[in-house]
Amino acid sequence: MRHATLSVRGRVPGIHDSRRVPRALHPVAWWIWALGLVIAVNRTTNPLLLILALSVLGFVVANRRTDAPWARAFKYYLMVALFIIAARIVFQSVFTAGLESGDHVLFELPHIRTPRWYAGVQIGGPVSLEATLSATVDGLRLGTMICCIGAANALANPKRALRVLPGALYELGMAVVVSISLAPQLIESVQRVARARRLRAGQRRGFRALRSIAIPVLADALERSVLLAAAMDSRGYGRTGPATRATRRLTATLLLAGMVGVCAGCYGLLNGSGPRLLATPAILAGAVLCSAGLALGGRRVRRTHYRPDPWRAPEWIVAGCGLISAVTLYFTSGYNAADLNPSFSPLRFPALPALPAVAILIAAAAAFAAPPPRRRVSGSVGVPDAAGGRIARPEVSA
Amino acid sequence: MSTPTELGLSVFEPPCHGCRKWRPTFAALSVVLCVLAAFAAGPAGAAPLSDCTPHRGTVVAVDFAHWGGPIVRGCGIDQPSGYALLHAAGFTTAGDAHDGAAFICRVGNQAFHDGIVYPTSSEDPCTVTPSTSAYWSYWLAPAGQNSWTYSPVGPMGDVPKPGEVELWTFGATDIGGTGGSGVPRFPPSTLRAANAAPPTHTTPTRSTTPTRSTTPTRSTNPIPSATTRATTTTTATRAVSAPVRRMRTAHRSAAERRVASERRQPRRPARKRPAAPAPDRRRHGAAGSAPVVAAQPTSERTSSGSAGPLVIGLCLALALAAGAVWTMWRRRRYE
Repeated sequence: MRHATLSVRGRVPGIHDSRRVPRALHPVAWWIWALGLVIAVNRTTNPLLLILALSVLGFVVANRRTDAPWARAFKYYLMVALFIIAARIVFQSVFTAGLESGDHVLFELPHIRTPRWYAGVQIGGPVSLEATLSATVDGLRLGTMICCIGAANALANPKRALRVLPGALYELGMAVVVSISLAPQLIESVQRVARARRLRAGQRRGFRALRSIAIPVLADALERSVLLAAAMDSRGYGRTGPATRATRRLTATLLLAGMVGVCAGCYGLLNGSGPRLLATPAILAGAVLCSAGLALGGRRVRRTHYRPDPWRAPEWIVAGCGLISAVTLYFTSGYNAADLNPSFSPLRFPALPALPAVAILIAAAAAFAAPPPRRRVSGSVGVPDAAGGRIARPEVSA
Repeated sequence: MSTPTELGLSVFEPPCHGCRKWRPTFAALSVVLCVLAAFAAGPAGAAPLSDCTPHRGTVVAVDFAHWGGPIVRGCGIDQPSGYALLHAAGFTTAGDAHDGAAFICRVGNQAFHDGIVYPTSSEDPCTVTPSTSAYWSYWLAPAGQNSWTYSPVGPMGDVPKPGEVELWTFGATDIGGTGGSGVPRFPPSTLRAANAAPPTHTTPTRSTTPTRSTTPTRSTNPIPSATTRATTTTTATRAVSAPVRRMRTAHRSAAERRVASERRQPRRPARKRPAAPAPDRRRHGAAGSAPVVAAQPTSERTSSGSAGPLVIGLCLALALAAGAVWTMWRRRRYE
């Protein structure tokens, strides 16, 4: 934000409720809330419910986001959603599905005749209002689901979210945290080099300017990574721990077998024509094997938590709001299917089913249930919570 | 029907020059009004079965034997697609949520159980594509062919030809449509337009209207010399598709005709309770026991619903969006 560098501790009434201590909500609570909304949105193609879900997302993000760089990403997700809708409409218009008798023709594109063996796909031809509306709603659903993920990304600190990875995967999480921190550092580095060039009155533009920026930035990045490696080495990262060769092999076998089981189970569930009996037991067995492998692999990593994230009442309420939406839409679709998935041929106004609408509106309660976010006091765009990014640390005196 | 933009702009052309900046608003408003006005229009009426002759119109039949019902037969003339033919004959259909209305997931007609669409939502929720073990399969029998061909295209891609019979059966098929409970056990001749003998193998109707097989929009954009071009296309594709069709139907046609003629012997008419599904009944042949009845048009016009929920939903969404904008504005002001 433009004025961020000038601010002294500004407290916005309402956002900064004086009775509540500003703190970051547990990232897992935000993710459960957002994934619950994803499940809910996936169950419906009702445009009213989808628009309602989008406004709920916007309302909660506007109220509870921080000033971190990732917290400003929601508008880009909205643009992606708009692009998806536009692309869906264009494809629907170009590859028309044919007209029905009662369709309302909006306009006609030049029709390209396709041979009979290519039947089923038409290129060009009349574009009906019904087809355009159903394409819009279809794109809106995918766009809303992507915005749900965007809201979770904007609301939850990604570095702290990686803390919940099981211990066996902590090296993976650490690599992700380092790479997430890289992008803001690179931007800052580029800005610094550009400022230095302006001070030296560097007038070169185009490819030459690129060279004179890229080399200092690369040198800077190399220097930083050597420093980071030294710092992590001195803190005990990268130890293999007391794992024997047999344990490692057992862990790998368990994880591989579990993954195969989960894949086979998913195939059985999605295929439908396969043996029904295989699907659920295979998924369950795979999950058990994976958990055993992760638990065994995690035993060699002993972690201490620096500033652990608490899980208190607001976390329960926020996660519960998302789960209520998901469960309600998941189970009402059985007897409310016509309202959840309205048809546009023949054209009719979509209904607003009461129970799913209330369930989606309940998700907006997260804007009040979550504690107000901590605001940055001053300073430039950087890495405000770098310490929080440390997800695991082997115990030194193991 | 004229396009909404020209319709809307001619109606909502601002009269003064000073309000030129409102022109985008007027245009948007006119599009919205046209969309709303389009909701009020109703569907077209159904053609009676007697309109179909061996050389005119296409017969479409839906076999409800899976639920102990009859074969309901309807007629449509010059319909642009198999989907439009179903609706023109008075059937109501429903698609599934995943594939849209073009994938026929449920079919119903007023002649059977007051127009209830089958399968009911308890049998198939119709949210994803139905599996090949229980779905409405689509069978074609062009004029002169007395065996069924599993349609290689969907109801939106197919163009009904004069004298053709189209059939929808419910059940299971394999991928090629050669086996399974969904394969019809009766020949197309039981369903053809009855007021004349079945047509011979060379049908004059095909050559008179050759453009029919290429595009459903022939009436709206007539193209010069389309006749000659389309004739060559038709013959070429027929030459390609005929061996395929023979291959598909050869091993079935002779045996099946015999079986079907045996089954046309009078059987004990086993009327079951209407609600009880009778899946095993298909094994005994539908045409032998199930009667063929004429399709009836839908009794009531489908209403376009009310705009109330739309207004309420949009107001709720607008209130939330206004709340979000207000919060952002205050945040920006205090920073």
